[in-house]
Amino acid sequence: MRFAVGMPDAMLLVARNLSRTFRGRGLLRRGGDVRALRQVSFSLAKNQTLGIVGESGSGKSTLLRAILRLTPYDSGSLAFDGAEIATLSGAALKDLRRRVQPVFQDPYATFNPRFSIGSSIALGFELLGEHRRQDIREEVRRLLDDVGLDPDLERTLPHELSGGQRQRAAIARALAVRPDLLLLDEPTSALDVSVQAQVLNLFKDLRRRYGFSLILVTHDLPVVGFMCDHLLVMKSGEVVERGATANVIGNPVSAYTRALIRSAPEVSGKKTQPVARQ
Amino acid sequence: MTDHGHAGEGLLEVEGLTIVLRHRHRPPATIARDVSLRVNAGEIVGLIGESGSGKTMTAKSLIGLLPDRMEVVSGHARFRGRDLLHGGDPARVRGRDIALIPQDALHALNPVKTIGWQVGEPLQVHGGLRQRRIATVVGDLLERVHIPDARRRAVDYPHQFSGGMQQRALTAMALSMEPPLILADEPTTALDVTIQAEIIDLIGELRDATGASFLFISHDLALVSSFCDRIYVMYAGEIVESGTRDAIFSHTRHPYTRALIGAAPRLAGNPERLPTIPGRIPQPHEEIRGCRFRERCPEAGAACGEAPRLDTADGDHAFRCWYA
Repeated sequence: MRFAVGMPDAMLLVARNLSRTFRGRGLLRRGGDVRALRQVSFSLAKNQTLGIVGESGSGKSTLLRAILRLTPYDSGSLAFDGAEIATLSGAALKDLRRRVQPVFQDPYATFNPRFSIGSSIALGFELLGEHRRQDIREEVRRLLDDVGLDPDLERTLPHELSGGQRQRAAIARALAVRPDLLLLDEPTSALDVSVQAQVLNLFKDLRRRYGFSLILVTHDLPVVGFMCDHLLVMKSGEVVERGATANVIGNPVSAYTRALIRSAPEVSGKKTQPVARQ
Repeated sequence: MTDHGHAGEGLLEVEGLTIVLRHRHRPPATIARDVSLRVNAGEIVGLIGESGSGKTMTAKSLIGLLPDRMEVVSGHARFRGRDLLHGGDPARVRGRDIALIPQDALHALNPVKTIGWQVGEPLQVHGGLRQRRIATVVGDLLERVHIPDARRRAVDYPHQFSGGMQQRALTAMALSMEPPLILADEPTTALDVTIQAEIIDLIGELRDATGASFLFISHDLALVSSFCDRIYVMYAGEIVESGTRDAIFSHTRHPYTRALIGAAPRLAGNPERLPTIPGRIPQPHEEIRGCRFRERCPEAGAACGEAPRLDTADGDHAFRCWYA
């Protein structure tokens, strides 16, 4: 694949033949082994947006966790900015933890319920070594404003916010540490359509302003169609198709991608063709 | 299967339904306001709205499942001409005349009872069938919703079923008394898209096979647009537009419906930014003068200070807007 920034050294994340198997557990090993990732290869250039779609069990969550180094891989290579993620330690690992930031589907579960929104976001600045309270406070208020929230919401607790507001706060918290890569795991699937539109626009605006790369994991193909230049389709731990989003959606090669596109409901007055039962 | 047709009028007719939530320290909040809707025999009708629009409570009020502090203060709901809200016993209606497929399959199923026992429970409660006969009917029902190896799997427990299979089991349970009307409350929200497509297929297939009607409640405009015959759009407790799928999506009249359609991303050909709706949905306890969408509406004018009535001049295509 060649991209706009096409030089090899402009690659932010490169996966080669990445594999991970979960061994069956329990006395009888009833489940057997699960091959969560099988020879997964892809690359993400700086400033690029990549959508990963696939169903439950396709391996997309394992992949995300591997990038965050929350789970190891058995073989293959996964390099962030040229460094193998599995071998990072000390300051380099801490640097990865700062440069790659996740935003999850349910931000409520990732906020400390007893911390105000402002203090949760402030933690990021402290991580960067900023300790002057007044400076941190100003930065937090500016960030809240950047994500379209009233800066005075810094004092509120997570449960006092609406779903859309909470997702904006999670985005502000992720941006506080100036990440190079944002990993979005179903970031809008709990939101109403009109709120989803606001949050998706916000990601585009913020990318322009902050210049981060983005990986979006979702089951919602139209969201990828709007957000991402590149698309990776996964099934049972394997990459079944990848390429520029418009090409993959316009000319899907694999039967599975075609089935996904057929079953993705799109707003129209026309009856969509249902998927044949397998 | 019996003939569910009822010549000349809708199977379900709801007229001017208003539901309020009573507060101890505040005036009551209106959850649904002047809601009228109709489901004809054999029809799949979509009821769509964003969270807090009142769609679920409207459906639940029909089968006596409103939470404690909510009550219907005005309006009528008739099922085959029979009053559902006044004097009837909702427990006799539930399951037999009108069944509900709830949203969250895992939580709707009892974890310590087998799938077969739960699918057969309505038959026991309403039908008084013998155990052996119930087992046969349950097997048939599970087969009808395409659970592979249905008779053997009837003795499985819910956790042994995948999400899609649990949803199928709940659908089988709803079908058990052969109800003429099934209320499906976001039955596919937690499912993968291809599994969702299978459940939607199943609903269409069941309608064709049994003649049952479905009221499909959803926040997902795209999904509803793919298979419902007629659609009602709710906003802040009110029906703002209703009509055939074609009328709603190809000849949209209400500014809110138009905004919702615009806000949904497409597979291809998206604009650089998605059009959004400014502001937020008003809370049920907020008193709003005039049109409830006025503050967020790009087309609002002087007339909107007065609440518009549902305009039904265009036959089956109705809308609540002065300027539509």
